[in-house]
Amino acid sequence: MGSILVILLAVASVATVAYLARRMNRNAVAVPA
Amino acid sequence: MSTRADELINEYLDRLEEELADFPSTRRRELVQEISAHIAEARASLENEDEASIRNLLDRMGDPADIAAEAAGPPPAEASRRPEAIVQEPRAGAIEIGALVLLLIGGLVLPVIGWIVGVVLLWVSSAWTLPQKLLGTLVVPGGLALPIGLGVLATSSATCVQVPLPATPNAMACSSGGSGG
Repeated sequence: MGSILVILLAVASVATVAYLARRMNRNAVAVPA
Repeated sequence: MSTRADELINEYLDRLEEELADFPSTRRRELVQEISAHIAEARASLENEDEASIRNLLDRMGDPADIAAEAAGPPPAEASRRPEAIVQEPRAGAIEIGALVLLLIGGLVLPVIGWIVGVVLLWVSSAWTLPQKLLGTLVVPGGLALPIGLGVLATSSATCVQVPLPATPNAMACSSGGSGG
């Protein structure tokens, strides 16, 4: 039971960081000239 | 006849001045003087100053509207591109890469502090929106350090400790601090 929780947490952590890495390149920032 | 010629030239210069109304006064005066000098020069070379010759001369000078347009410069094709709509693509800088690395494994390198530095970098960067920052902060606090730490803790606390039981002297008990999983 504990090992499943550990694996789930690890997967969630990696997935979150992967998501943030992907979103980082898509967020366009409008810059006033 | 020279009076009529003067009238035509003055009309022409008046029209030119009207067309140059949008120009600064110094520039306008300068242009009118320049054209006036050209007219005077061309007029001096005329053999006879009849109305037709003067009209012909003024035609050669060009329409005052055209002169004003030419003085204003070429059509602003470049200026029509409005700079305020420029969209800058964010690039992965040191802050962003540092934030991602430290969020994931910062807690392993430097327990707790490494992950906190990653969170600070995440919030400092402008590459993410507020919900994304909240997600990165709250989904797995500590990053991979939390599951790995839990795993290590569960493994070490599940080791069997042999204790003699008073009721049955030969029996051994295996106690576990974890949930038994």
